[in-house]
Amino acid sequence: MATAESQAGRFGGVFGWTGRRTLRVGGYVVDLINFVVRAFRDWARRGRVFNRATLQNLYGQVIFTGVDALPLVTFLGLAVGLSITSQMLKLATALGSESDVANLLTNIVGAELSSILTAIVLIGRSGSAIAVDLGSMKLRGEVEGLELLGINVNEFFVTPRIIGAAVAQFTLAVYFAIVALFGGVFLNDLFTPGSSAHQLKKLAEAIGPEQTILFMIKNLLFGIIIAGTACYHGLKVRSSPTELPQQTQRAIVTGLVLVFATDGIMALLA
Amino acid sequence: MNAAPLIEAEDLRPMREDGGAFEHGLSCQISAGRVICLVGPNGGGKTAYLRALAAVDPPASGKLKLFGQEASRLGFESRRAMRLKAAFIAEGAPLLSVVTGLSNVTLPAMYHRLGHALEIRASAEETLKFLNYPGRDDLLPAYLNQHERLLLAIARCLMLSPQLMFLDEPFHMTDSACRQRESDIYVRLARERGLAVLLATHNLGFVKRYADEILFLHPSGTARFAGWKPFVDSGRAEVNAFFDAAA
Repeated sequence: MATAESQAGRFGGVFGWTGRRTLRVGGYVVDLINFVVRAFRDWARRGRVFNRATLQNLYGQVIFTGVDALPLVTFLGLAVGLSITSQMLKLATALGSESDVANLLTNIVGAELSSILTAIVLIGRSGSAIAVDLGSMKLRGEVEGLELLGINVNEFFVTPRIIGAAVAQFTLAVYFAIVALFGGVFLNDLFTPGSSAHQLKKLAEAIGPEQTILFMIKNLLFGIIIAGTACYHGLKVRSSPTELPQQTQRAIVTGLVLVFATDGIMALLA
Repeated sequence: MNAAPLIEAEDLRPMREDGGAFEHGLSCQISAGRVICLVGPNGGGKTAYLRALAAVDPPASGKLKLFGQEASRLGFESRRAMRLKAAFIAEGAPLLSVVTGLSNVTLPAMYHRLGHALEIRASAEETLKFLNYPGRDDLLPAYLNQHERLLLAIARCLMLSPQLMFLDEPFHMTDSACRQRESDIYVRLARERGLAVLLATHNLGFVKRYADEILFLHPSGTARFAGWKPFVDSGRAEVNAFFDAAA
């Protein structure tokens, strides 16, 4: 009897723990969505959505997140082109199923790998930088200093960063896909001369409008998630410097988890 | 004819960091063109009372009217508009670290769209001239000294044409020459521009020379004095104890 009770208690404990964790995760996601929605609402509340002060922040974010990440994304794109695209094209030449391989490549490299790898680069580079930047400003009282001048923190800090990161994520993912696919084709051409024009045509034919729209939505969402979590955690820093690395680490981990979860959900929906 | 007071506080009790209320309420009326000093020993709550008077932090209890409006009933936009008229400079005068000194001064006016970029820039340069700003304005705040940072913080507030200016420990970490220049600025802001300037300070030299009113904040109570002489002559035990500790 006592054993059965203790077992029931143990199972109850496991269920309770799982329930509490699920509620906490659900609460966190709702809070995060609320934070992003509020940021966009505050931004849209103004007649002219951008002014010189906030536009400067947007340009800065696009340059830092997008332009500065180009060398790394180029390198990764070429590495994927060499390791996956060119290998699969070789296989296609051997097996003669070029259309299937072109479909597979646009789906795996063009749609999936380009989005995910770009998102990982952005989380590591920009997500962490945004969280540290905002957290430090919060610690030094700079954020409050601006609030006391009637400046809306959401409008000034958060929205430009989210929009900048979303634009940069989408543009970089397109760039990554082009480098990885076309780079792979040209690398393959070194081994099988004269095949590139034909393969490029097949790859272009494999890209459909539905896939393109989904790609666009997914990458814009990834950008929103990356900058949204980074801003959310950066602004969570209150008064102790020890909170800064803690919140930065949470921004990175949460960003990764949410990007992969979103990718999985979108793959299921597609 | 007396103008309406800018601040009307009635039994205002700020919130402590632990969520409780300060024991003693503060009642006062502050008019334009006055220099008001909040003084008292450490732990008396100078910063907390200053923040409550500026409607930066919500009070635990009591009433506060700023520019004739109940502060607790202000909506989102009214609160934002009120912040333009009631400038608050926290201890250390934090500036935005990622932009230059001049950009810090022009940024709030740009954000609130108070004019074209060239007009705002010209106005910022004029304000820095009024403040006798001695430093470079093309450097990031990290490369400026505390006096220069404070002047930039004052300048960026003045760009919004406030009627009230709250300063928390403005003489913190500045030498005596800078303190004198800063004192002159506060007095000019009150006398020439008609601002009500409220300072929480330990600088009794400034209080003695320039304070039109003194709000004395002590763990055993709050008191209001119409200048230095009534403050010194009050004969109150806590005032005498404060002077003994300061000496």
